[in-house]
Amino acid sequence: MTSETPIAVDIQAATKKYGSFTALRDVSLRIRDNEFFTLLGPSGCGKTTLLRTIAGFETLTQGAIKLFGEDIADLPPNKRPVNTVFQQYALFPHMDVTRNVMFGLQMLGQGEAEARKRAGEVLELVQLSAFADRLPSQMSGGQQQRVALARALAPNPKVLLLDEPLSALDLKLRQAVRLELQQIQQETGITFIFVTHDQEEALTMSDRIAVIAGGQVQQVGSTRDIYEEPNNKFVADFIGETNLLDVTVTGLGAGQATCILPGGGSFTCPAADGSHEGAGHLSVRPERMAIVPVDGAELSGVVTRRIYLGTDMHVEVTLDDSEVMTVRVQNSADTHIPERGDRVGLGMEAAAARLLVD
Amino acid sequence: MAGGGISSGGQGSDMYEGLGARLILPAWAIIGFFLVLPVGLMLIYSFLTKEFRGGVIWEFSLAAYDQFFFDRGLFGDEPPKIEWTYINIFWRSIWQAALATVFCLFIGFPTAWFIATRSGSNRQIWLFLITIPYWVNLLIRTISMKFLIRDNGPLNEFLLWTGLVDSPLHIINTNFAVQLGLFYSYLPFMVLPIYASVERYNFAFSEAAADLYASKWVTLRLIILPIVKPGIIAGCILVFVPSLGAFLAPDLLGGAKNFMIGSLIEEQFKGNAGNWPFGAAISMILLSMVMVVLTLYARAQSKEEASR
Repeated sequence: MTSETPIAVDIQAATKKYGSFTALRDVSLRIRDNEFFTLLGPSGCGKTTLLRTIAGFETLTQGAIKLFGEDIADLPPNKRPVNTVFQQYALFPHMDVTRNVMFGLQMLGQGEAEARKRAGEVLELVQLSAFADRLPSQMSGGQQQRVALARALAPNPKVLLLDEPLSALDLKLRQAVRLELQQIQQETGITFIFVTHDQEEALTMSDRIAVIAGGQVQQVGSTRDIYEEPNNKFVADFIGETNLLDVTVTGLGAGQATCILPGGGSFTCPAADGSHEGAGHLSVRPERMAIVPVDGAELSGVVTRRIYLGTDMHVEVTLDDSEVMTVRVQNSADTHIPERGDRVGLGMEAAAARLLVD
Repeated sequence: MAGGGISSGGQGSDMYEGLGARLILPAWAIIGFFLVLPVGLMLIYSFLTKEFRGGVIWEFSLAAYDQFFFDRGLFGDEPPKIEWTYINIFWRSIWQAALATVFCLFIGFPTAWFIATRSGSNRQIWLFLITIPYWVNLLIRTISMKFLIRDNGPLNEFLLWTGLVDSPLHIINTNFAVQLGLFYSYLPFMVLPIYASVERYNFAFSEAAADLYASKWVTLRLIILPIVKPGIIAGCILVFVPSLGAFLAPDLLGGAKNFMIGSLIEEQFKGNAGNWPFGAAISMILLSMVMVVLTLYARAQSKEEASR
């Protein structure tokens, strides 16, 4: 995506307070047009509040929200050209599927026949044509979820907001729907803003992710950036699994940090913006660590646990200063996996580690 | 584990097998004693001959129904004409009851909505406040109302004091006073069922409607009202039916001119002047009317469900 891509939603220094509780603190985000953008964070982090302020169900205490350059802060929800897929779907229980999907169209002034035709098209898109006459109560959770999606897509909104739409589905279904959602986003070209607490969901579907915690944006970036180049401890820990190593930083410069490892060795690796000298943390993903001979290894310790994961094996190594590191080793005939109690060395490439901002 | 659960379930159903008919006996006993017996008695009485000092003579007669519908002159020997007196009382009662239902709905719905949208503990307080007046006997409350609204009562004194009126408003012994009495008597029967359905209403539906470009009024009309409709219907039935048969409010607040069916029935059973078969016949006519209305409603409801 080029820098010329228009900005769909521009959130400027948004703050939301409920009494003395601050749900959002100075949040600024620029969400591009045609983007699958995910707001990711633990429950209570403010991601749903942020989504609701875009939909218009909450008003900001401070800050501005612009939709394609137009300030929408004062518009009520029914005047905003955005639609929402609600967490519990909120399908109108007294209307059949077609009526549910037609609702938004009719509210926009479309006639019965026109709205019915469009509803048919959207139901086809979500593969629910056969269920057009059903009541929501006569459908499974997965089907209801698709109706909710169809209802929100029907008016062809500029931005579609999705509030944890998959959280009520079982795992198998969730994985299937992920792919479908992504496909529908690409087909329709509508900007999707997707809220989830599930990092796997975020990584598999999104173009870009904003990691949110404590009402603040921790990091914004592509899925690769977020995973491979986390800024701080929270992001590194929340996205995927990581090993956090206590180190002492002795030198910083040109995006590189030189630090002293627990074993006393010196190690140079990339550093996140804003990291500082002194005590710090290195993040190393389990799959970027390797088990090596003790001699000449950066770190060494004793294998204390092995967890069988099918294709992989997690080997937990307790370092001499009692920190526990996890190494992900592929299960194959020719890899030697050490036994519990074996003394091993741990190796990592410089590019695999990253000094974090605390 | 699952097998164990199933087999113990099987034992359970074995244990109760064949008991069905006996277990339902108490329910039948209650229905029989409190419904079939009194209504049956009333039905039989309506076809008996009246005894002049109250009571009945056990002799079959259609006189009670005849008296309701036909005017045969003072001595009963003229050709029958339609008797309008009682039909008019019925008509006025229906009109009064319908009006009271509408008033109760217009005040009761916002009240119920208000209560249902408070936080948990506040709801309990509001519900409590709604029900408190009903700890006092209906008769006492109706008499109090009479004192409040009479020509030199506190309401008029207050209005005169504020200068809003120059002479006391004549409220007592009017249709309006009857309305006030009915409204006051039955408002909670409207509020409580509506509250129960609004409390279950999922406000995400309103958000979804707003998200799909519906204004607040459209949301109320197309989403909220249809969803809470069962509560509204229940409230309307609970207000309309007792209002139709009410006799305290029309007697005490309406005076002789604003007679309703309830008062008419009451009169037939009071003291020695009454006419038991006639009272029973009016009750049966009232009962069948209510039944017709409820049956029509039930039929409309099931048709609506079938059309979905």
